[in-house]
Amino acid sequence: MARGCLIITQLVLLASLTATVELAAQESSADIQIENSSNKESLTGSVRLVETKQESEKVFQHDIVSRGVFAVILTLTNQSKDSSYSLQRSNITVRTEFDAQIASLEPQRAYDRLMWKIGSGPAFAEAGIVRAIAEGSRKKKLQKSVLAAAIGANVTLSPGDEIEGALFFVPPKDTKTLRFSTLVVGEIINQKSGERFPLRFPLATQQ
Amino acid sequence: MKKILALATIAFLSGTSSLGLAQTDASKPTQADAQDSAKYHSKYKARGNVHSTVLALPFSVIYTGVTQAFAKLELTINYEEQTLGYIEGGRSRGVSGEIIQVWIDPEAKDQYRVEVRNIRLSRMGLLGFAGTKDWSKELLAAINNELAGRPTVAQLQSAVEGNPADIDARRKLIEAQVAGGQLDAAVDTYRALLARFPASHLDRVNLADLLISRGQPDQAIEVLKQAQGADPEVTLQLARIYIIAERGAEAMDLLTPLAQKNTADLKARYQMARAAYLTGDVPTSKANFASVIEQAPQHPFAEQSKLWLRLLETGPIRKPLETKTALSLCEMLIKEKLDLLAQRYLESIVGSASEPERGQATRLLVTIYQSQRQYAAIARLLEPQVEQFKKDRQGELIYFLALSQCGLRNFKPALEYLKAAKKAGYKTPKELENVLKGYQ
Repeated sequence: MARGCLIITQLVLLASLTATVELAAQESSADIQIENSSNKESLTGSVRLVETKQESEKVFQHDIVSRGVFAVILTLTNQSKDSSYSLQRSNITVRTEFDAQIASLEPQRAYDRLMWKIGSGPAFAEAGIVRAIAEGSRKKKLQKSVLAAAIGANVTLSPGDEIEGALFFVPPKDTKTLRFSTLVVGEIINQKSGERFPLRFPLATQQ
Repeated sequence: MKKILALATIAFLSGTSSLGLAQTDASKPTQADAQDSAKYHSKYKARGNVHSTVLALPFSVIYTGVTQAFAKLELTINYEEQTLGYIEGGRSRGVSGEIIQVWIDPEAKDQYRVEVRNIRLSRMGLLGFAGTKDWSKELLAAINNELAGRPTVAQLQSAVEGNPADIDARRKLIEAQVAGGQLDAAVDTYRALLARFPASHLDRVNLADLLISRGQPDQAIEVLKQAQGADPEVTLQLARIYIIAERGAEAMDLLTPLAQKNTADLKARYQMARAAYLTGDVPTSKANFASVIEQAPQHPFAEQSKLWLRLLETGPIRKPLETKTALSLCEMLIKEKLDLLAQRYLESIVGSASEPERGQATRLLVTIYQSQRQYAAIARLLEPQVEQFKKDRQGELIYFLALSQCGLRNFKPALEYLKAAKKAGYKTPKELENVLKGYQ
């Protein structure tokens, strides 16, 4: 299969701590339902994997993939009427099909990765003006497209809120695609009840 | 573990860590200043944008980085909300080519010093060109200010005792303990956390991961078995650990109903096929691997299933494992992140195998030990054979031995082995040799 097409996975999540999780990945979309008999609130989410040059340019106006960075765009909507939910970016990981865990890259580090190859070494440093122009232009572009797109370190969703943000990952050397992996939000907290629960988003179909 | 390691090192200058850090007076001349080799005296220094500082770190993480040929060492220098540069994987990286060199002080016993020896701030080229402003003092001040006021493990411990209902305080303490190599204490803190917050899935899974990384699958199983609710993902994790612990029958008990309940659950089916092989149930194993291939021919599970089926052609698994079978099996187990199980199998064959299988088994085993930082085990395995390695020009294995000696803080033999590895044809990292020379 062609390496990494853009994949959209829709998920409907009814949130609860003591949830029973049913995973059912099918074709290009998958539904996750976290059932909870006592909690009528809901959190809706979707993920979109960006792991090709084309999609990267479309989403970030820049090819981050050729620099070894993949992205996942996470969208969460709080459909509850009276509960807020919160999560921390540091608790979000990708778990590969063989259970390797990949921590998300700090957005600043992702930005650095994209910047550092502009030039290196003393010889290049001599070309100060040229570099300054090239670097300055790219810096602005990346700050706007990459840093600004990143999901916040701490996210709170008030009732009715929707957030969308990018998470960046550097896959291990032997991993060519994350299509068969799962995005794991290790902990979401229901601010009203104090319940803590994980959410998982298959990044694509199992097929 | 890797994640925490990286976080600790990255965080220590970026302001997100809660680690306690002491520091020395950066304004005084440092050992690095006195020892600067010719290459450090570049024109950049003349322009005033080279400087040194010494930072004392009360945790072993940096030292571990050195032992692994810098593979884990990460260091970020931030200034005025900009990342000026960082080291990653031991190579100098940075925004448009900053060069940072790090010195690890071998004399420090409980404290490992990182010395930022040489920073070339190429941003100076961007902002008014090099040498027009001496940023180094300002940067040093910024670093030192950043480091001041970090809570120590003891302070974090007090914070937990002062507010036992604060789960985040406990997590910060665990993070600091893990980063400081206090793994027993970290396990205890996790257990105390789970006693108070038994529903914390995140901490339960993290504790299980920590126990696995310490080679304690049975304890990890006990932790996951106490998970509340019926989460199929936890069940799959538990089954995986049963396999690692060579408790295949219990894995089958978990996986069979899961796979039967949801026939589309590829992971459950794949794991069941694998568990069946390891328990000697060839028909179940074959049927499930075949089913995975049929169900999802493009999935990596299908590719691996074909390899398992090839292995199954040799018949059911028999212990003690025959060398060739064991090697094929272990390669698959390593790919599937079942290192602990592969380690056990490899240990059982490495002494009895003959060449070339023994070399292959040794290499695989050393890689596993290396990832688990079992340096003494590497030394025990390789040292008796070092003369043979030299004769056979197996430089890579001698290099692993050098790294293990770094891990054991035996820097003299480490350098000798590093040179021997080079002589045997292995391309050793120059950075490591330079650091080790300073350690003699």
